[in-house]
Amino acid sequence: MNPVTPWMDWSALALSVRLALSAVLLLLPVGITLAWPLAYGRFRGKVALEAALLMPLVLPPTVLGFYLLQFFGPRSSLGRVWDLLTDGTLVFSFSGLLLATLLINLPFFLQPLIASLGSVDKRLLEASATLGHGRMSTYLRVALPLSWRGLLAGAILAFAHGMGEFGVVLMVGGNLPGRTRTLSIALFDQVQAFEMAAAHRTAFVLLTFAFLVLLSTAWLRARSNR
Amino acid sequence: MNLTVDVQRQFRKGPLIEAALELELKRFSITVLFGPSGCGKTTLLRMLSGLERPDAGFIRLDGVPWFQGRHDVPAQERRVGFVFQEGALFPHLSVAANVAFGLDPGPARAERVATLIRRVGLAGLEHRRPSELSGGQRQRVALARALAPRPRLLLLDEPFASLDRPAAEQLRQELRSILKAEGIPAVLVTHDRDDALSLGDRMLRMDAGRILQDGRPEEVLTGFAANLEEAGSESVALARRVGRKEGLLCLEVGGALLYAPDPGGEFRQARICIRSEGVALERREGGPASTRNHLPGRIVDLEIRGALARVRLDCGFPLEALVTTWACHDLKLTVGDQVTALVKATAIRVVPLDEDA
Repeated sequence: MNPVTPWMDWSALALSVRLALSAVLLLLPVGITLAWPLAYGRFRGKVALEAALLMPLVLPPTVLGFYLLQFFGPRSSLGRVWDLLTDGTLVFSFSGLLLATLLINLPFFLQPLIASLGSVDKRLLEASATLGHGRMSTYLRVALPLSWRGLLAGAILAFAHGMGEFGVVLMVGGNLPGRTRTLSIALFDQVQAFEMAAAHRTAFVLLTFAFLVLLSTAWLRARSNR
Repeated sequence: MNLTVDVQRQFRKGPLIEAALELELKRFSITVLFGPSGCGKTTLLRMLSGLERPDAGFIRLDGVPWFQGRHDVPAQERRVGFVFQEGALFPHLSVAANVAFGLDPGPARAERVATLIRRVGLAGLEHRRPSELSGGQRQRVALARALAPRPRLLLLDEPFASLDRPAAEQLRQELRSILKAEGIPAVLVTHDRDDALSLGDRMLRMDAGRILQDGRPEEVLTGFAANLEEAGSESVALARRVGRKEGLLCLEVGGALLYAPDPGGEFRQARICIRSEGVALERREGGPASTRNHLPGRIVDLEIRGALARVRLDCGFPLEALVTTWACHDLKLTVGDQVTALVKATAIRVVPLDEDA
């Protein structure tokens, strides 16, 4: 650490924002595709799939991080393929961090979206079918536009959670300044180094951010119930 | 084009629905599916459209199965339009976008949308959202939307049920001409006699999951009340307007002349409904009476149950009288007798018809 502590670990803040934003952008196509069968599909193993996708909500982040580390590591098949394609490793890199963030944020994104999709009037979907639209077209043209609040709430929640994730990020990404050190890890470092003034500022930024996010999702929910 | 239907469907808490019917789809006509709520009308409609799967049976179009065993043509491939009870308009789309929803993109689309919006009387409202429309306007959009892709068959599920009386009346008056202009055959579900009387070319009466009667509305509705004591049993017949006299309408029915209150409006044909309890009988034509209509007829059937008797007459058209059993014995009525039916003008209701009905 520098003898003069900067007011804020700007690179950590920038990395957190970049990570969370990239994760949300990737979540949009992935989540929208997954939400369809989960909201409307009837197939064997649906409950198991739902449970698997919701796991990150209850699993200790370190456990998840441990498995991802195993799964992404240079000796895993995914790690080897990644190495071949990019000449780099997944672990301790931004890409690995991004993939991990994507996975753990999936339930935060999916839950409000699926709830919104489920509350779309079934007759509208039926009307679309009688007008010649297949399931995919009905999903994209009727169900999804009518669930935009759930989509937005999911994106906001996933973004916020991505900003603050600690355990998985530490396990998969380590703590490399400018590459994998996010804001919540910077806070951990600041406390370890007894830089309490800096820690206060970091914590306050994360706290304010979390509050604003919850405020906006609550507002969205209130609007959609009206 | 012929749609042949023979389907069964059982809901856990509903009646077993078991319906067989045939629909001619080549030219415009309105078939009314009539019956009390919960009798399976809507389910039958949903099975025709492909929104509901029958448990057993078949649905075939010119012999080609739409449903049979495991084969089930999905709703989006049947080209059957559906107008839902409360419209089910897409709330995120404008009136024009709702109507265009079932149309392929192309230069013809805008023109078709404009034509239909004009036809249902909503010109100028193209850019409104459904939430900015009245109930009647919404139902018109739903109608235009369902007609736009030129379906083979249009199904209407109680399209007037959610509307207030004036709006329902207005739409009912226009519905037939709108459908006729499009030349699309329709099946209309209703539990309202007047819908059946003013719109139907054919009427299927359904109860407890089965189709009990199939015929012209006047045939089906004559003396349909389920039991003798029930008020509201009617004789229904097709009538031709002859003229007016003393404020009353003069109509010709099966060779007989009848006077009835004038419902107003221009029409040449009508269906008349005569309440059975408004018909009295006498042996011979007596002196002057307060009843306007004296019709000679022959008794074709007599049904006595308790204190009441239902007498079916042939007066050139089928007419039914509900009289007391006492009067029946007094007059010594038997099948084959010639009698005079006295029909109070106020017991007659006139439902005007379109030219071609």
